[in-house]
Amino acid sequence: MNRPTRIRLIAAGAAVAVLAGGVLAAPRPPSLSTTVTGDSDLASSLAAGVDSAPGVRDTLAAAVIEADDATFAGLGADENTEFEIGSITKTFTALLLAQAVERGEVTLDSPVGDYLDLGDSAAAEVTLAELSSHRSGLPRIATTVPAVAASLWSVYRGSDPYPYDVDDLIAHARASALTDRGTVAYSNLGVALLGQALAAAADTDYAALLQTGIFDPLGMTATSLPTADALPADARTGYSVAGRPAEAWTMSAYAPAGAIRSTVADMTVYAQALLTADPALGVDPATVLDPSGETDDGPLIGLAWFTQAPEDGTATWHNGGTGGFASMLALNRTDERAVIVLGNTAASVDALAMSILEEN
Amino acid sequence: MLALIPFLVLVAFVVGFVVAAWSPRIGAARDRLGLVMDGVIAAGLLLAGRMIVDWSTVSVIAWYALVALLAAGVVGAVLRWEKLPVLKDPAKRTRRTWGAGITAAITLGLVAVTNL
Repeated sequence: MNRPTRIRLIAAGAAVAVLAGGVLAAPRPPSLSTTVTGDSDLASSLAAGVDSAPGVRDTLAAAVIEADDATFAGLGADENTEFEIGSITKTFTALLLAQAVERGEVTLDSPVGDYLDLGDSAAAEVTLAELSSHRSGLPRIATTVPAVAASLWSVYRGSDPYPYDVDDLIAHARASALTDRGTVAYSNLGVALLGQALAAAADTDYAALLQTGIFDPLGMTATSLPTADALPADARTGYSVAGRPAEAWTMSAYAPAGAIRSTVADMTVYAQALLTADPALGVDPATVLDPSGETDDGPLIGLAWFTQAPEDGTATWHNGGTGGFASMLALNRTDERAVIVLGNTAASVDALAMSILEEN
Repeated sequence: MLALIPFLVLVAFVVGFVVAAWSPRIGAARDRLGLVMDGVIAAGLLLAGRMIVDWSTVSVIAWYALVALLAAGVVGAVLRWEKLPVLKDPAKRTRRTWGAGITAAITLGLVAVTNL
């Protein structure tokens, strides 16, 4: 074999190797499952509504909830499939606040510095109600240079952006300036502080407070708040909006802002308890659901729960999003009806849930 | 549009490697080290882009097109290899070698953090 021929063969072999590697390594973003579970009409609504937001879809599960009944459906998932519910967790933290007020452990106007060692920082004077209604003036997330760098890194890696213990959380709060206190500005840092303050006031930890205050009384046996260490190795994970696999979020000390894992069946129990003022809640749900504060300072908001402006509708709602999951729980309190939609990609399900609530 | 930026960066580097491997003049590789580094960067970015690019917006067909371009670049690089000096300017050996090493390390790091 002469030299030019040998070189051409090497070139052809290298090209084949690149092409074979390219085929093997080809990106495979998920696509919405066509496996229908539960009610076929509701499943059709899910399939028809996924174009309401950009991004990939994999599995979805939903329920149309009434006070004493529910209709379940799913695409590649069912009412017992576990999802991260993300920031809907904040509504649980708000409920724990209302329960703590009811028990006399705290008041809505108690400064968070009474429960956490925030020294003479600006954050110490913020009240628990302000934390829950996002009126504290605290930033959305910690703004220290290492925290911002870690946050950007986690976005890049698709990992949990909140690996911080309570001491770190307190340090983040101490380092934060307050901006436009009294105006609604969504803050994960604020709700995380609230959850840890409630745990401190009850002399326990946040997970235990959640278990004894809400999960156990309502019988939400498939709902949990696992730590990173306790998360099973085969725990369900999801995908980013772009279809990249995302790690589970357990969020450590920031868990009160978004780390609950649950199912549509359990979220249905939760929604029914809210709609019917179930005594197991320990408080009148209106204390968390009803908007409070000035109405000209941003969205209508109660303790964590948002209420649509009258011109947009009547829903009381909270959504959620983690690295690999999206969620939306919307209540029509007048008609005692609700919709929960959970997805295992970060593509928003807000419009999907709202449209199903309006349809029904 | 923002979601397309990683993809466009990827296209620029893969096309750049193809040009370096095949172009007779403009953009042509001047030496083997340059050609190898163009290939390493293009392949590395393609592997990183596998995880970074939104392949639901940019069709996966575009991935296969980029792989085909990379393969074409590799063919051109092999065919051109013998005609190129190792280094165009041996006086810059130390600087070029260090530069190539650092670039390769950064590229491999990028592949590792996006894919592992």
